[in-house]
Amino acid sequence: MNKKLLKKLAAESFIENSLDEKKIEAISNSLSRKELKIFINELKEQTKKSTVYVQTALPLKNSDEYLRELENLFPNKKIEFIVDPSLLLGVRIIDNDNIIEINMNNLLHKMKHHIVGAI
Amino acid sequence: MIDAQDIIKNLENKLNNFPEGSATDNIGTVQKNQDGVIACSGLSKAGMGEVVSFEKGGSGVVFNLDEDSVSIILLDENMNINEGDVVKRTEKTLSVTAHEQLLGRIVNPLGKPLDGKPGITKGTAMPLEKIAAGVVQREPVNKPLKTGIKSIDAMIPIGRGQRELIIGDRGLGKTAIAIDTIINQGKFQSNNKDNKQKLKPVICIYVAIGQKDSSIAQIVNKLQERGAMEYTIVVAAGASMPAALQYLAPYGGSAIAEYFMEKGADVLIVYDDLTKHAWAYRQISLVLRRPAGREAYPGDIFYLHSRLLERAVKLNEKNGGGSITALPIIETQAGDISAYIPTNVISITDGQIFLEANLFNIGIRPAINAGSSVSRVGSAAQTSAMKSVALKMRLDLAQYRELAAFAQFGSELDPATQKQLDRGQRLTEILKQPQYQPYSEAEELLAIWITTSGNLDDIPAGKVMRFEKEFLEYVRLNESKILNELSDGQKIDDKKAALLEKTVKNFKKGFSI
Repeated sequence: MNKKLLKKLAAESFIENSLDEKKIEAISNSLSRKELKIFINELKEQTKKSTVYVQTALPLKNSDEYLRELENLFPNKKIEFIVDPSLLLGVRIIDNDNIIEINMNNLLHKMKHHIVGAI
Repeated sequence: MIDAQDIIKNLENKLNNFPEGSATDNIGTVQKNQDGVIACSGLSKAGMGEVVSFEKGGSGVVFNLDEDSVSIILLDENMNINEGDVVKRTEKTLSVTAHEQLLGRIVNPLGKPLDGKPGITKGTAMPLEKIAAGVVQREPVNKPLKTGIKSIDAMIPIGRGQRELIIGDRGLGKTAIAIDTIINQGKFQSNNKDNKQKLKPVICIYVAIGQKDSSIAQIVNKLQERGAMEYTIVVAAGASMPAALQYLAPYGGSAIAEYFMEKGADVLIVYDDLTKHAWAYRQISLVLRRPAGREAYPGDIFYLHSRLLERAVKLNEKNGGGSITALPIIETQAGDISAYIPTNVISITDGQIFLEANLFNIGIRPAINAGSSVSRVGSAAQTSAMKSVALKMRLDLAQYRELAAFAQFGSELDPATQKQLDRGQRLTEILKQPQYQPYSEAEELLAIWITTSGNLDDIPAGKVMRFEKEFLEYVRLNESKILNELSDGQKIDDKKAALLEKTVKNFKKGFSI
């Protein structure tokens, strides 16, 4: 089975942004070890593409409200909240290979790069 | 030493310019690292030739854009890249910081110093890849670039803005010609009073590609000894450097050359050598799984060199009047100039200096084959004095070569033929020149004139080099007026010829055979 076909299979293994376990079990049983490796990678890629990770420094109090807002911003995508204290303050939104950084950690990091050479 | 107040002031200034707002990054994840080429998923917005930075430190450049991934070649040595590492776009293309401070320095293709001295802090960022100046901005080659080598300046003259290939097997003196040319540019620096033709100073850039570090060090030492490093920049990508840097080296050199050219300066750039450059590009292309063509080179190998050499240019006065003269070097195998890379570069350049092993072995050095060497545009930049003596010399040499081939079959020759052969032998002798001893134009004119005028006909061929050396010494000490008069580049008229005849006669009185 070629990569293109495996990619298609991976794309068909989702129901409403969630993995369809039955389908995956059936497909994986019929694949060789090499094909399975590609299939798993494609599943990971698909999951990455269909999920938006919202990292916050502290747990959100009104997460339902934010969820609705974010669902409007990223239609047809699953929103997942993660708490990451290393951000110090603010939020990081990861949408596939795009990252939006509005947090203290990134600000300090950028500041450090900006002032290198001033001393 | 900077005091605390200055540091605080600098920090305040920097922080005042700090950009506000959110940051959006486009990232990728390393999938595999194969022979220095990184395959990365993500980076969907990355462009071809864009610089990317690794979160762990170090940078690379995007070389292939595939459906699901991008291929990145690494620009730093000893980078420890692992699967899963994050890569970020920088939205910048490759550039090198160029400034006058680079003169006398040895840098890598991206401008990082290799000589242990501090880095260049100020300057202009010059893109490594740039479209060459268009037709409207150019003008024909009209100023000579003196190599100081008699046979080249007379028979294969190079003009400022020309691309002249130096081609030959290994160990025949290709680099020596380029180095002598760089050393000779010392005569045209602004503080030299002997520069009678008012030629602009030439800034030299020596690009070493895939050479041993010891060879590069030797060349730098030689340039330093002769005081040539003052106006020279060495761009080095040695054999131990990654293929990516070897591939980028000539473009880095060219970018620095363009910085000076845009300021109206004349620049000489030596690419030593483009064979190894082609090897580096072939290596990268094969690792990137690009289709291999003839001799396993990729299909765009011609474009690789043509877009590089097209950047050698003579700009018109409206655009500053600067120029870049390129001396690419190609190493052949067993004198085979019909191989892939030599034929490509021969067709791109405006002429070639062909060095031959046979000539080298019989002691003719520089071992230039006058028959196969040619300069297509340089003669337009020759001075009338050089044109007049070179024309006669070229004719004499051509007749000599033809007669020498026939003379092998018979023992008895008529006096006219014998005379022609003798003249040819003396001309061949006079064109020999030791390494690192470039001549001024006046000295070149004198040496060629004494041969073509028949003044050496009574000197045995084996003594011609000694005669020339002692005669030039004599003129320098006793008749410096002649050198002064010849250096203006004007044609040798009857008056000058009479004076030269008289000087040769006087010298011969004291010369013992």
